[in-house]
This record gives sequence, C-alpha cells and structure tokens, in this order.
Amino acid sequence: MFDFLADANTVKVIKIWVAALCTLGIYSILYKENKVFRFFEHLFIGVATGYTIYITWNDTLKPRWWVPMTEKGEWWWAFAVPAGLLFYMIYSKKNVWMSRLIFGLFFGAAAGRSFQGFAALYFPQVRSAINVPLFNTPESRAADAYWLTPFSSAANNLLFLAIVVSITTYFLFSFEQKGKVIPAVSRFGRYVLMFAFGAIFGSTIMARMGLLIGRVYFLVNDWIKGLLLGQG
Amino acid sequence: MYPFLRLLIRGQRIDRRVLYVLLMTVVALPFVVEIPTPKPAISPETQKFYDTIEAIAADPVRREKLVILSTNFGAGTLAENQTQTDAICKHLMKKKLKFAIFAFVAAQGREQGKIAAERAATKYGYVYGQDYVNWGYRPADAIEPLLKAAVRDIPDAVGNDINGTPLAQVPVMQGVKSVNDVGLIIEVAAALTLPQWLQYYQRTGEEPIPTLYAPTSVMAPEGFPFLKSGQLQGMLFGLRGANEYEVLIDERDFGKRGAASLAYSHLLIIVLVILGNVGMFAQARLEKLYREENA
Repeated sequence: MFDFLADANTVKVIKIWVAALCTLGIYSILYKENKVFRFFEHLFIGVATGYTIYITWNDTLKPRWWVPMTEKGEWWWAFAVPAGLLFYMIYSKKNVWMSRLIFGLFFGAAAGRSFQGFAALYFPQVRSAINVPLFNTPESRAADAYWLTPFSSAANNLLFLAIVVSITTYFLFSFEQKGKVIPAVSRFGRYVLMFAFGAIFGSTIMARMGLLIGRVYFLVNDWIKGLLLGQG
Repeated sequence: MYPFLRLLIRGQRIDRRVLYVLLMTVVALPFVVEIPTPKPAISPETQKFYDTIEAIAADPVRREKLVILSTNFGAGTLAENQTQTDAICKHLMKKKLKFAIFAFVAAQGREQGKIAAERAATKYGYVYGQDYVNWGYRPADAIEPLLKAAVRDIPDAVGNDINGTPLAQVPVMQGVKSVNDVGLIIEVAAALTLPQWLQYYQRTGEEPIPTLYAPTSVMAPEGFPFLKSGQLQGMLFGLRGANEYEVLIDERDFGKRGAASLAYSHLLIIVLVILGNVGMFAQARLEKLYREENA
C-alpha cells in the first residue's frame, strides 16, 4: 500500500506539499482567526511534543538508562523510577512530604551549582568593567583591530564607563535621589536604557523578519518554483 | 489644507492585512528577481568570529583538538540559525577541523546540525565518524551535570552518538578525553543556552576555551557584554551576521538572498513607521484646526 514511499523523489514531493500547506495554514491567522489555523497549530504542538519524547528516549533514556539496566546487569538504575515518581507525590495531600525529599535534593544541587555558575558568568564582566583602560588601549594597538583607532577606542571606553555609572545610579532605590547631580546622572541612565531598549526592539524586528524570510523562501523556491513551475 | 491632512491621517489607518501583503511581497521579491544589493560591511564581531577559527586552524596544536558545534535551535529559526550553521560547517570543513554536533535544549538541533554537516560534507569530502560526529540531543535539565562530568571524561559523560555507537569507538573521538582536548566551542542558539558553556565548561581546563556565539538577532544584543569581557571571541548577529560570514568564507548562499529580503523589509517598516507618525501629527494638527474653528 505504501510502496510509493520507497521512491525518494515522491517522498520529497509529499514533504514539500505538506510543509507548504502547513505554512499557509499557519499564516491564515494573518487574515483572521479560523479553524484551519487552529488545526495546524495543534498539529504542530503534537508533532513537536512527540518528536521531543522520541528523541529524549532514543538519545538519552534508552542508551543511558534502559539498556544498562536491562541488558548490562546494572540493576541499580531501577531506583531512578521510584525516585522520579516522588516528584508526583506533590499531587497527594497525604504523601506530599515525600515529594519534598526529591525537591530538596534538586534544590540543594542547583543552589550549589549556581555559585559556580554566577561567578563564572558575571565575575569576568565585573572585572572587565572595572579594568576598562581609558587611553591607548591594548585592543587599539592590536594588528588586527583595524576598526579601532586610539581615539575611537578611548571614546568608546569613556562612554562605556559613563553608561555603567549612570545606569547603576538609576537603579539606586535604597534612598531618595535628591540634589542636582544624582538625579541628572540617573536621568541620563534612563535615557541610555531607552536607547538600549530601542536597539533590542530593532533586533527583535530583524529576528521576526528572519523567520518570515525563511518561510517565504521555502514557499517561493521549493514549492512554487520547484514543484508548481517545475524549475527546481 | 483639510483634504491633505485627511490624506496623511490615512497613513496610520492602513488595514493590517494590506501591510502583511506588502511585507510578503517585499520579502519574496529578491527570491523572484535578481535585485542588486551591495556587499555587506563586515562588522567587528563577525570578523572576530572568522579570525578565531582561522587562528585555530593555523595553530598546529589547537587544530588537533575537537570543536564542539552546539546547535540549539529548531525549525522555527531556520532562516537565521540554519544559515549560520551551514556557513560554520563549511568553514570548519575548509580548514579540516574535526567537530562534534551537540544539542541540549532544542531536540531538533541534532537534526539541523546533521543536515548542515551532510550538505557540506559532500563538497569537502568529510566522512561521518572519521571527520565529525553527532553527539545527539540531551535534555536541558541534564546539561549542567553532564557538562561538569564532561570536564574529566567526555566519552563517558556523553555516552553514544546518534547511531548508538559509544563515543570511545568513534574514530574522530580518538584522543579526545577531557576538556583539555576541546579547542573551540561554537554555540548556535535560539534560546539562552550560552551561559551553560561559560559557567560549567569554558574555564574548567588548563586554559580557557575560545567560545563563539551565533544567536538569532533578537538575542544578539545580550551577547555584547560577553564579547567586551573576553568571554566570547566572536559573534554572528542573526541573519545579518551569517551574510557577512558567507562573504568572509567566500561561500555565498542563503545569507545573500536572505539579507536582501531583510534590507527591503526593514526599508518598508521604516517607511510605514514614518507614515504612521506623519498621520499622528496630521491628526493632532487637524484637531487643533477644528478647535480653533469652533472657538
């Protein structure tokens, strides 16, 4: 019955048609809310969930847990099941204390790791912010740093310091910001934050356009040109 | 005066469906007709990304180490992340560097990395198992303990490749034991997956591992502090970065056509923002004129 699936070209044609219909179905929301969109939305969620479950089993659970336990005699992996089930005791009023055992274990491990994580992630940044050289930076003297001149490098670093100080000042909420200097610095920090939010929003638009471009390219190149017009 | 102002006001009342059609048309145009677009200016972060791989390839010791290509993205961000991954694979293969594909947040990432590697492998004569390997997908919740274990013993911590072969038996993994055998980390990301590498792997060996980042555009601004602090050595800023990178490695592909669509869609959005704002000011002006007339 499904012999036609043995032909790679037929499978490719089916794949492109399914992908094109799914794309158009999802984009139909742009016109208005409709059942076709809802169908494809649920289809996508179902497929993505099923795929993730399969990959998790195939790449992780089967080779790292099931096979060692059932085929290599590593029976102690069986204890992972009751330990994992303890998480679900949160739904039992009587036995909720049992879930705390496993949650406590994971909280402790996560808290311990987070010390290392925080230090490794942020200490280099704090160090870098404190050690910003103002003039004649090593970067501007590097042979491959053609985009930095001593002047632009120094100006860049001064601006960086001004921004760090002003934004830190803006977030000083422990006392009332009085006088002329601190509110002015704080206001500058707020404006700079607005610039940053604007830049991030611009990047967001670029990212969203990127998603659209990917699908439009598929529709134009693979579906319309490749299949419908036979130019592929 | 009044008809003109009313005409301007219509700029902020364009039906959203008209806007969508306009946008689709502008995005599709570069795929239908060849529109000349200037060569992109290479941004410093892209140049550094390229230079880092070139420097590793030129170093006789570091080029023998493994490159980890972490592909944490799915079908949702193909235009940006797949274009980046395609170009990265081509560059790694051009320079004859051995690499391992790995995903731990997006399950589809293992597949997208595989697709990119197989596309380039034919051209550069790369063979799976001998020149590169796919470690597959590991759940995000398990990644921190896994990375900590992989500091000492990568084959034991990761286990098998996607074909179920133990890593210790894969030829390209011969001589790769601990973090000190990793020469470069490249994170292609559609979610916040960079910190795990920086927190638990980058600086755990004898010397820090150079780390490169290829995020979607929306995440790229968060990468700049890491570039400035030296935690990252280079970054590809979404599709724009992929396009610049294609120029550097001399492999023009989707980045070129995608960047043209990106440029024209941005121009359209700028025009629409201007139209909307002109309409807003025109409305304010018209209301003021009405008030003065009725006063």
